[in-house]
Amino acid sequence: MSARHHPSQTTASRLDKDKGTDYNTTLFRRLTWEGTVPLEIRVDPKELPANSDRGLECYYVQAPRVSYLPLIVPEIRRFLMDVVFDEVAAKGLNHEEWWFESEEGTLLKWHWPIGLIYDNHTISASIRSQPIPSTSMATPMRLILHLAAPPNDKLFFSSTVDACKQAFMNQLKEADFIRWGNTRRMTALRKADQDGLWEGIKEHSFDDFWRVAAKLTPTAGAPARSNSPPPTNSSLSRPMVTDTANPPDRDGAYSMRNVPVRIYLPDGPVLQELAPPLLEDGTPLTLSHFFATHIPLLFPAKPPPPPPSRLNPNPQAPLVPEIAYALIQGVVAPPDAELAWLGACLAGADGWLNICVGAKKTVIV
Amino acid sequence: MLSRSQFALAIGFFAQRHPHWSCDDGPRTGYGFLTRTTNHVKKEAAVIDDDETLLVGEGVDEVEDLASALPARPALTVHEYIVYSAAFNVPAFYFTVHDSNGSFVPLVDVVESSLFKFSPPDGSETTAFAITPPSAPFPLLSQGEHPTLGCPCWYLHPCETEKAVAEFISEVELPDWNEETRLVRWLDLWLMIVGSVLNL
Repeated sequence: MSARHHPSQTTASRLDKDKGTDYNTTLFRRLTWEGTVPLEIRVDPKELPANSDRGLECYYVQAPRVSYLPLIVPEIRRFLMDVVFDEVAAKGLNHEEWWFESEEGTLLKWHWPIGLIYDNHTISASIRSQPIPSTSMATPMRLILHLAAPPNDKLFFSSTVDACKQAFMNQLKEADFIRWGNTRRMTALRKADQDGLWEGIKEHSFDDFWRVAAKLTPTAGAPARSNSPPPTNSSLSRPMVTDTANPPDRDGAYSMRNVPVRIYLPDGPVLQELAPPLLEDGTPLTLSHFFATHIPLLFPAKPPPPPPSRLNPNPQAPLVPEIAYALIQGVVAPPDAELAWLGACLAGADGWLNICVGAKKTVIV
Repeated sequence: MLSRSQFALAIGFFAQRHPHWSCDDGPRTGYGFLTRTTNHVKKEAAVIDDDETLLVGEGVDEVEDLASALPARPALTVHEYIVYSAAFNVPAFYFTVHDSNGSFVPLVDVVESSLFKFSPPDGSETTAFAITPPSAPFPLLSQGEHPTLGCPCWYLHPCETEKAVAEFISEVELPDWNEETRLVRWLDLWLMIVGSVLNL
């Protein structure tokens, strides 16, 4: 019997949790899951074993955003062993000593989802040189693969799949705690289900993963607002509201305590701040409000319009320069997007909404 | 429970009162942390002397055993950090352990060092990167990124901290405490609880 069944869940318009969540949530979750990024992996030329086939030491992979570097090491290794390395010369290699670096010398972390590594890199690269192209295919991120001497002081000690799984499970539990103030939903899962989450990542199976994850992650039902004004017309931030007369979804995105969210600045620390789904006045917390609170220099708050006067009866709020933008799952997020909805639909597989903030090259006023 | 700004205040006051800890303000309010460096050693194996008393290597000068034939025990450098846990809204204890060559010390040697008061509980799952007591929701000790510096550290999981401190603070709290006193006492008690597991 699912732990999420409770007496208020009776109306026919509410989808049975065991059968699926609402259409929009599932759509965005699938889009996130299917997202991939192009990686170009090249062994550091100084480390190629003797007699390697130097023309071929570059490996291209379209890696899932929700996956992790330790999970793509096996296929890279197979390629290198089969095609590039000389069998004898490669005998001494230990893949547990392998580690990755970006072209700019940034150490790439084993426990960061690949999508996050890519978006973070996109932003760093855009600050260093070219602005991000507005419409184009994604450019491959160039990774340098080192075969020995991992810098243990800066990277996690262990690059194994097991260590990655542990870090992943910890992130899921932390996200669970942030949402609800306890980890009951995670600990209520059978061990087979908990392991099934990681298996879903390893095998890249949406169904296997979400069969279990749906028990943890809130749905994106609309907040219960019986007397509030109609929602703003933003197709990205608001899913279809099918039945506003429903009681508030106790497990829904707007009933959580806080959204598990982190902000990644290009050269800064990772920011983690409280993000309640609703503000004190009952309105949903939007990205613009969240940013204005915590990174006001990058996202200045829009001042209110001046009071109407005889000369200017319909004043507009003054424009503020758009200095920065937010990248979520590779997409520039609109400022009125709601954190609760984003947390339910565009979070990573580990439960976290990762927001990469970049600076615009040309300031749009 | 502490907010980030309360934590920032607490560590400032704490560092003033405890000079062997220094306060790094970090890049922004609430992302600062306390830090200090201490020296520890690899513990000897426990031995039983003639009176059948169990002697633990650390703190025992003479041990009549083969183990005492070894020269001075390997020195370990421990960098300790008191950081803010944004998920649990309490401080968290992070640390790194290096040997005399500057190498990162593996977990199995970390828990065998003089830093730890006890061995992991029976039935704990121990891997190269975490120790999880039986039926615990989170590992007791695992690898994590320092929230401000980003470097890999070992850390004690903070999830049970708040309850433990709340119990103590209700016993000792006095109505005339000002904010500064309350914050420092909170940290003192928290550090005392960490001290039940680690030799600080």
